[in-house]
Amino acid sequence: MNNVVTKAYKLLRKSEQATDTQQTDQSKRSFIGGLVGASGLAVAPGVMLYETASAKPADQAVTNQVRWGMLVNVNQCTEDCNACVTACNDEHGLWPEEGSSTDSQWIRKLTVKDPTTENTKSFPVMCQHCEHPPCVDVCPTGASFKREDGIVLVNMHTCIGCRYCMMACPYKARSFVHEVLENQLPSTPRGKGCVDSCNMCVHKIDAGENTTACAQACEKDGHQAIVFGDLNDSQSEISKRLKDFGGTQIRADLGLNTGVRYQGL
Amino acid sequence: MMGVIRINIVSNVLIGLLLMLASTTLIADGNKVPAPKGDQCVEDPTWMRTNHFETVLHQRDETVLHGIRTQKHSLKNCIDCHITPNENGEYARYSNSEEHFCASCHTFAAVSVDCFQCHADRPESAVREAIKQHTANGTNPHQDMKASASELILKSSLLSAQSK
Amino acid sequence: MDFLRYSTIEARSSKFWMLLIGLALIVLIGVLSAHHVEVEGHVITGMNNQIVWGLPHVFAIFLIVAASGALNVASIASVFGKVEYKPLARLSALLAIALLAGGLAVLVLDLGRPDRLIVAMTKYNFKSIFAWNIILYTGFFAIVGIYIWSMMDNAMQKYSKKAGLFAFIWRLILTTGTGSIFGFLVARSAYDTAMLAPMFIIMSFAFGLAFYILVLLASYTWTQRPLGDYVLNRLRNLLGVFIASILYFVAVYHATNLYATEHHAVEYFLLVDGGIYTSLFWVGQVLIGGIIPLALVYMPQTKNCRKTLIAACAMVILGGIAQLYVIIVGGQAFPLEMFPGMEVSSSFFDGVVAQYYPSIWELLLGLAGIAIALLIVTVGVAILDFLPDSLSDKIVEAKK
Repeated sequence: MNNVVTKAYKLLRKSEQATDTQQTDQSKRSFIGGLVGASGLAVAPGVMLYETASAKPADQAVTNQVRWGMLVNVNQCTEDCNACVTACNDEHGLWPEEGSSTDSQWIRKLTVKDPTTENTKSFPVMCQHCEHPPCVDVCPTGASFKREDGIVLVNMHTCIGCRYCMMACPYKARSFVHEVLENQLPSTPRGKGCVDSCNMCVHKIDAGENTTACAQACEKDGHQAIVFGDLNDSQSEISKRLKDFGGTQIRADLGLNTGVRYQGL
Repeated sequence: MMGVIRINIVSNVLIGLLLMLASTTLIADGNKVPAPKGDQCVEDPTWMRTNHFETVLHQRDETVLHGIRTQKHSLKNCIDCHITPNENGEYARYSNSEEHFCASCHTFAAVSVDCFQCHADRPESAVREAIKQHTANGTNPHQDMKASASELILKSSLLSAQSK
Repeated sequence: MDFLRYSTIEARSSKFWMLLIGLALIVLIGVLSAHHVEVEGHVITGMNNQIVWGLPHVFAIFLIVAASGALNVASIASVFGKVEYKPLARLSALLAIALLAGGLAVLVLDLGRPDRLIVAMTKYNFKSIFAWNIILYTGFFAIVGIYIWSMMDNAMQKYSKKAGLFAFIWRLILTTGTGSIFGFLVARSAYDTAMLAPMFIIMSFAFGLAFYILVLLASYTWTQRPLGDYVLNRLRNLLGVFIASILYFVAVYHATNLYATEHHAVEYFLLVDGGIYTSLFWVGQVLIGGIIPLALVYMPQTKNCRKTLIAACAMVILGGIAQLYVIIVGGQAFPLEMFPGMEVSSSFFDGVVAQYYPSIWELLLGLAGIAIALLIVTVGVAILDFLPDSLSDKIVEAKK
């Protein structure tokens, strides 16, 4: 075995000679570069709607000090606008074909009409990032899990593709990757045979941007219907709004304590 | 999986053609993996050769489960440095076992990994470029294989039409 | 020859080999189609993001449910002390293992990542009923294996009753676990009821017994061993009781739902307006799987008639598959109620009945599951002493 490995690497010898001889510590350099980049992104336009709390250092684990959530103001969401969906698809490299029943959709616009009053509402629905997620309960391998900061994710390294989480989710938030994918973005790895869903732009949060692509897009479009923030921080925009105006959960009867709330539903 | 196999066949055919064109010794001696970026790997290269999978595996769980995203041992960092364009400015894909840094060795050592079924096998800029081309062509970026396969069929039929 | 003796079947006949090769071919085709699905992705199946569990799961769960039921014949002998069932016990345990293996093979081969089976075996989330089932299934193999050993080895005979009791308790828990896969799904209107677990147990009784009778008849007819009417009539009566019990449970399940206004929509869908699901329910499940076999079993004209018994068993199996199709696929086809009472629409098929057209790949995989079970039984009876030389009335009644 060792012999094979040694031989294999001989093939690469040439390309690595340069690497071996010089001594600059590139890792340190790029690490600092990464931090500067992250804080640069954190002061993106539209500060009002994001959390500007200090970013977590990259080498520290997330904690339950924060619980990320989103508040969707249904009254400010318009039926003809699809900006959050497009932004999500662009951010994560999802390209669902129109009318496909097999392509992943992490966020979708729902039109809900009350047949008796004819009142119609339109708003986005994505993974609701429950405090007690049924998908996590049913997952046989524990691949479906909730991060300390409240984000519900699929660990695609241990997902066996049984789809039980899709059966259990009350929000139809999850999709199964039905075919071989190409050109996935480095920040959103996903592939055939595993289940995926809204990850609350976890790569942005970990980079200290503290916002989501959908919230950003909604704000850019001038609707400002999605507020992202820390539900545990009473001073955060989202907590203040929830306190002042309330926020309902979809299927509150299930007692899941969702991290995504709706105002005006 | 099928896609990978298909591309392997395609690249094997291309390599076969190249072998016919160039002298055999020239290819056998040459290492076609483009040189990595930067001057120094994040760890001692000898150590990395035998231990990189443990480093990547460890970092994998740290990142997915706990949101720890230090750059040093991240797969993305590996790719950003080690996957560089060749003289034509093209980035090798993992299916190219001659030019892709990871694939060249994995193929030789008969190691099979499924990292790149989900993870990008080249830097983000290269992926974005591919997506841009798909958008311009009106094709779905998820379906490189289908696009390239049909393209190949089209090209070969055009060639045969021309020869007639 | 008035005493009970077990022996392997004659495995040299060309008929035996044709059966073996035929079954192996079906298994091979099923495995190849599963491989095809794995390579291309589930996009080539009829399953999608709305119907996430399809035909493979119907077959898999049918086989798993039937597996635990097939053990019943043995349990009646060892747990309930009916000695006339004792000669039937070994085959019953073998069939139980075989059906479970077939069902699990289908379930596993349909995973998105069957290559990661080792993950399922090593990482457990103990809150998941699915994870519990993995333990229950493996345990079932071990316990029934020991049970078979205790029945076959004279030295182990003294443990036979205890092993039988343990296996019986285990199988009850196992089927409860299988039913709870659906019963615990709070979000779906058609599931989310404790009724499903006991209903699955009674379904297992009938499906397993129907399978058992067919296998028993086939193996005795094809090997020309004597099989008396006494045994068959006992089993026939038992089958009748089980079919009636399923009908009772189904009636209670729907009556409970019909009482609650919030479930009226899903009930209307399943019983009246569900297209294929409504037809499968009334024609497949109730008529073919229930009323007709019940009549065939209990009509005085069909007494001692083996052809009608075979027909009844086949109908119970077909009706069972229809029932599971209605439960599994029909339950998902009905739109998830996120906003009860509202009209919902979206690009993700919210608020509409989901479409599902099973593909040939799924069917081939499902049939392979049945073939795996039969293959195990065929090989089993050829290499070990599972079958009594004779089940003539004289022998069986002598046991009593």
